[in-house]
Amino acid sequence: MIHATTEEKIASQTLMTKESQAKVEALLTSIGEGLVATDEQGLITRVNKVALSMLGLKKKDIIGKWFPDVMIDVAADGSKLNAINRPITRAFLSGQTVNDQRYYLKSDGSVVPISLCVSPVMLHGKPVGAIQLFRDISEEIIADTIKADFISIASHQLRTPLSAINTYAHMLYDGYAGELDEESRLFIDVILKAAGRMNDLINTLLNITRVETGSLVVDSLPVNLANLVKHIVEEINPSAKEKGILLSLKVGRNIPTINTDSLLVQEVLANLLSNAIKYTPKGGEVSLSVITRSTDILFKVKDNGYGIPAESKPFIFQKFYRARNITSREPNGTGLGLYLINMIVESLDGEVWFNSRVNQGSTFYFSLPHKGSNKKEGKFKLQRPHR
Amino acid sequence: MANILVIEDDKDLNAAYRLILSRDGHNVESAYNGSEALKVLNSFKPELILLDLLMPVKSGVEFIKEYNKGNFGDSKIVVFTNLENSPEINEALRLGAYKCIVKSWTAPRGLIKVVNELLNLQPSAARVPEN
Repeated sequence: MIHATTEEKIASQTLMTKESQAKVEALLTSIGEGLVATDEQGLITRVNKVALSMLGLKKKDIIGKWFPDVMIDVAADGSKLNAINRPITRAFLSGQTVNDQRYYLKSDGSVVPISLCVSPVMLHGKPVGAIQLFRDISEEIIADTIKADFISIASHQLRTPLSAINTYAHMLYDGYAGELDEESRLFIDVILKAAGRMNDLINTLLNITRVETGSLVVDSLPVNLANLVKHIVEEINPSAKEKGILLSLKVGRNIPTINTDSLLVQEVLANLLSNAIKYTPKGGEVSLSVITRSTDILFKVKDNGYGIPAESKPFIFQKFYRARNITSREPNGTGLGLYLINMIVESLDGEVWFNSRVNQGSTFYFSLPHKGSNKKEGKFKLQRPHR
Repeated sequence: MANILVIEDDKDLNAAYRLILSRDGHNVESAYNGSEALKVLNSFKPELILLDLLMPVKSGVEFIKEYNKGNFGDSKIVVFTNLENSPEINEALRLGAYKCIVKSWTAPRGLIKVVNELLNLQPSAARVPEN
């Protein structure tokens, strides 16, 4: 048996350590995104080539420097920002991973938009540093802007002939071209309803684009949810009555006022109730209830309608998807409603889910945390349809 | 009743607004872009201007800028557009437009109501056709 000497063991361990360090270095260099790591004081200990290239820096410019001194947050116009809400600080203080989008100042004075993910590095339960991955999102921003501009212009161009259809149909209905008989009024009513559906579809497409491109405004203001649900039921009740459906509301005790976006919450509930009415046969029942739980407020929209087949359930929140059992019963759906709801609920920091059985009905749940929704800056408010 | 100038590039909508407001008893002139409107203003002094924003030749915002520079009086300007939350609307309001209305879903009665509210008038019941 051959026994290694102490020197040989140390040499072997040193070689292994160097090799594993080289492997780590190779791994980090190979990452396709920028990477910067710091110690617990925020001094940069490691950076990869992608990060250096993105910031226009050399390794010697950054290693050992304090993170905020070289990773400079700026506004889109290049003006410097208050560093208090810096993602790395939030990650350190919360002990949680933080995802964010920022602008960084490059060494040549230009600005690069980035998407980042920064996590505290924990050892024995204590933060010993942080690691940030980030990537240049310039092209995504340009693509989003082009998409938003296209949808905005296309929607405007679609609305212009719709304005003419709507205005002239109303003028006929109101007797501007002479008195109408009952049948003529019914025909005009069909035109107006179809124009209304087209208008709603344009609004839905606009809203989806806004959510998808992150340009939807999310307010965080005090909202009395008990009053809000009453208002929504009043708004939706005429369409329930028209279809012969009993719509009921049950408000639990001590429903709190939370900071959220009233317009978006209304849209989610109105959409869930409209769906329930649409997919419940005449004479059916739809109910909205709201209760408060330990960490959230739970809204429940229940119907005894057609239900969702098991094979459709995984796809129900997908864009343009419509369950097979309702396409023949209700051909007018777009498959966009639940997709939009899901995205709005996400932007409100809430959750939406459902359970359903064919020919027994569906129950959709929508929860909002007691701590409310985070405010999100954006360009556009939600456009609510005319119900 | 009041003098009203309709500035709208869509000929069908322009004609419709003229008819609706004329039937309500107003004296209505119209133009198809901001440039034409400025010419009309040389001989017509409206109390209210109904203004589209996206128009050829001279847009709604460009019209307001020229209107503010000129000596055309102090008409109330109402923006009537299918844009929403757009920079053009914010600019028009900043430049002094009173109100912005989305036109795709404004029925004749809605238009008459808004116009008369701005003019502090009651709608002319005798001239508005009833259902």
